[in-house]
Amino acid sequence: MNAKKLVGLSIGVVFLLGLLMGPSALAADMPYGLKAGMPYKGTKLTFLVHNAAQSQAQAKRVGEFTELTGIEVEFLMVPYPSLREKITADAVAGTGAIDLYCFLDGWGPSMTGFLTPLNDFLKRDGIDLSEKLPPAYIKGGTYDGTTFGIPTRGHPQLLLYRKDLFEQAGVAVPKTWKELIAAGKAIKEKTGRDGIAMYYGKGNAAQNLFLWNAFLKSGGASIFDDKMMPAFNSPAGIEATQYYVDLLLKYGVASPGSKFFKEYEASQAVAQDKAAMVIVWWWHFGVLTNPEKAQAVVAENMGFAPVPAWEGKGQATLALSMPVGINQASKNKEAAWEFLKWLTNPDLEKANFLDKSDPKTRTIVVVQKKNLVDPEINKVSNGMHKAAAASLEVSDTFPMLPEWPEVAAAIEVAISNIAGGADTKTEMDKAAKEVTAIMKRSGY
Amino acid sequence: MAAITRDEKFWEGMRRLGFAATFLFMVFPIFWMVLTSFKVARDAYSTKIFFAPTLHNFISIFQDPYNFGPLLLNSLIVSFATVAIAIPAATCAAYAFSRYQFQGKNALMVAVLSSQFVPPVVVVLPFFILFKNLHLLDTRLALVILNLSFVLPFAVWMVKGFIDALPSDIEAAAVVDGCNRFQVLRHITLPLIMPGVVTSAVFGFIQSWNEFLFALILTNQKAVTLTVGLMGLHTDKGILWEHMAAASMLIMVPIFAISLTIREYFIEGLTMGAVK
Amino acid sequence: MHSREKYVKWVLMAPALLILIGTTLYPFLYSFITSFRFWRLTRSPVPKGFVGLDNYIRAFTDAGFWNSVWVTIFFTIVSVVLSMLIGLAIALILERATKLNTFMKSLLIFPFAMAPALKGFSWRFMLNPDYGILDAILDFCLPFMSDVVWLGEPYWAVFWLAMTEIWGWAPYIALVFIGALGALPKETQNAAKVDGANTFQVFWYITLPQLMPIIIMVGLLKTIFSVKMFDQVVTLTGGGPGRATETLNYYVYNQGFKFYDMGYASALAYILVTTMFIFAFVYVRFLMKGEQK
Repeated sequence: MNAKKLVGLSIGVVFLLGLLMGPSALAADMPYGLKAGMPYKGTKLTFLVHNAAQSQAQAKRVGEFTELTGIEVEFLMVPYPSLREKITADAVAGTGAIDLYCFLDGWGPSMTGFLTPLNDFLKRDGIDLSEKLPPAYIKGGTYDGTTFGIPTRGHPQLLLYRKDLFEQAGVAVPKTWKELIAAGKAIKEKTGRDGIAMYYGKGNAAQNLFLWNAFLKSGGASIFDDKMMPAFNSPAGIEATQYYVDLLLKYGVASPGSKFFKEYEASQAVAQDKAAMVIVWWWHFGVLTNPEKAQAVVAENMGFAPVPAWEGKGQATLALSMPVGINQASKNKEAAWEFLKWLTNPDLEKANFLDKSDPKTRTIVVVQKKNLVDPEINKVSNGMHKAAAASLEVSDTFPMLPEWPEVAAAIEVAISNIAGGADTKTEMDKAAKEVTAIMKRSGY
Repeated sequence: MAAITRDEKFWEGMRRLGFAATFLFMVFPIFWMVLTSFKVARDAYSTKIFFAPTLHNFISIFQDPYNFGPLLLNSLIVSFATVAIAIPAATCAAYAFSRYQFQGKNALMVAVLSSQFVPPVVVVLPFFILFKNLHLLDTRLALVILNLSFVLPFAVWMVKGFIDALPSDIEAAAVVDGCNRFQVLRHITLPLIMPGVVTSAVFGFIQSWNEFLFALILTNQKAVTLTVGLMGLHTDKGILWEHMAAASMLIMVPIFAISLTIREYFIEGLTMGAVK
Repeated sequence: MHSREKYVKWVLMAPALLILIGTTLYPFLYSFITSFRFWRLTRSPVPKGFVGLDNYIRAFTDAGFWNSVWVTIFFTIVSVVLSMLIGLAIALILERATKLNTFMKSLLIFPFAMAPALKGFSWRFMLNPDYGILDAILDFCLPFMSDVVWLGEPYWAVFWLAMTEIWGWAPYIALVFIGALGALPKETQNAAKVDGANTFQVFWYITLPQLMPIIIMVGLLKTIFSVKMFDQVVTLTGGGPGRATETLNYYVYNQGFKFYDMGYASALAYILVTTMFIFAFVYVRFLMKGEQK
């Protein structure tokens, strides 16, 4: 065997080995289950999302995805209150100009006509969402057993409170509504601040249902019965609703402005040192501890705790998420699915969370199970994520129904009226009648 | 010599009181917004009058992710173009409505206005589909066309009011001298009603400057206007009030420039409109 | 010459009418046809079959719709009347051409120029009981009302909603009236004064009737804009408390973009269009009659 032959043979062997190992080696290199070999290279995707800090952080790193797959992604960011209008216009025109939509979980069921079912994609790539996400977040992207979206942003509720005011008043952090009322009274007496900032006001997003839901569910009542007819005006439902507004009306521990506040105004009442507690989505903690956004004394003394419950009954909270789905009319569904896989990977989320170089991104959150209990993340957030993971275990979404926006609006009006002094039973019965009509019109 | 009566004295006092009240009523909300635009977020949500001022809000609305610079340009181009097309067309139509009598004139005039009775929300989707088919989505031209649909009707009505106010005998003389109607309009009527035309132009400019819903739906990136950018400061985390105040100052700048340059015209113009 | 003269008016009107038809015909026909169809976006992204007058019939038994009709009427009356009264008052105050008045006149355009959505945001912010400056001032001036949560009471909420509208429009209307006042012949006023009429009588019996044509004109335009008002509902009150500030335009918006029933929203819209058309036609026919030359 001469040298030439030897060289030729060894090249051949290396080549053969390369052929044999190549694809699998490449596949192993491709993270997050992305397809190897850049099959969609050159595809341009458009992703419609609201202009949250989270989307900006994702956009900043999207180059990494392009490097892996050759797919380019354009983030089309719109004002949050207008997100639904933008999705609707694009979907109705049916051009497929936008490939991916980010939407609020409560809109999902009414938008199933615009969205691509993801079950086949998930099955093909062997992705089990229940390993990745808390159940409430999965439910937020699902309608009638079909997955339409996977969230990158989600929020559990937490009780945020002022440690210093609690100390001055000599009260402990409340675990029940009864304790909360007692603590609120003591704080008002000893420190002059309002006990808790509530938000009973009517807005455009049914925010006064967020906490109503916690009172209702932990009080053992529910919004619908088995036949999807209203059950919130049952005796238990009315009792829970009454208790909910009595924080303001009977016990006087809520800020007077609670009557018309929306969520962010309640949070601002705490930020401005006017109230001692607020029960809100967890990202508010990032705002209330930011000395640029909150008064110094507030920023230094904020604490968090689980949402209180009824005495002797279970805890129940709400979870809200913003799933990302693929447009039904998209011409690049496969490429869009690749992007969705990358977008919902835990590493990206963790990197974005830990990157505090930009102060605007303080309110970035994580949704993946793995990250919620990640020691590094919990070190930075002082264990808030572990607390959140616990809250998420008892969390549920609002009923996932196409009619939900309409149903929510009817209940929202009733609660606003009750907080204004109207009779609870009368208003709840009226709302139940409206909801019955809505459900019957839809054929339930 | 007219003595100052008690009656006149009383009304003079009322006038002064009213002046102060008007000033407070009108200026205070704007003053408060100016103040807010120099505050950091923490202070924006407080009633502080003394605080350490910052230019941060003004700087940050021109940076990522807000980038108000190009939005400002889009708004200016769209609003000026709208007015430049709407006003000449409206003036001609208004002249015809004012100077000619014909069957069904009232109905036609109300019809011109009737497009303004439709809630925008039910026409925004058809408009979107229309512009999609014309391949005009995300262009300034689409916004100009759209703004015309609501600036034009009001401009016709306003300019007509000013022409109505003008005695027609001046024109009659010119017609006798052998001018045709277009020459009359161009050389006799137009100069006389110019202040009124400017008034309507400012009205139209402000209407298209502030238009939101259509600009939101019809634009994506290239033709986004300032009002859409402004609403972008209402985030999922509430209202960035300090930024919004700064942005509203920015939105006011062209209005300020306009009000200065055409002040003479404007105030005189409004005077003309009432000559009956 | 005469026959050519006949066509001149059409030539003059042509550009405006063509632009209007070109820009509005398709969308308006489309939405009008939609009002007779079943189009719930929850079921389908495109319009479905025709349902005759179903959408219209539903409106007449819809309590929410009737509520919004009354709210709109109430709001329109309050905002039109107050805008015009305050506008007239400002005009009378600033009528004389002093330096200070000229300065004020140049400020009048600013409230009008502020984006409607922003008006709502800023007034909501100023009325907040915890950190709102206006609430603080009102509490100080009217201590007996310090417990009132302004946007939490139905009638006050409508009042403040009207206030945001008045704040923008009254100064602009004042500008129009200032112009009108300046152009009125002074002889009659002076003659009346010589005859011993007091200031109020001169205004009531002489000035006001002379202003009437312009008042009527401004009244119509302001009414249309009041009925159209939408942004401030969203940003100031969100339609609340309860349904106290849900105007018709807001209700139609909810039916369309929030509840996804485009057919029903379109039907409601065309009920409004028809009503407004009749109103405007009658208004022009009877009130503007004297003006025609």
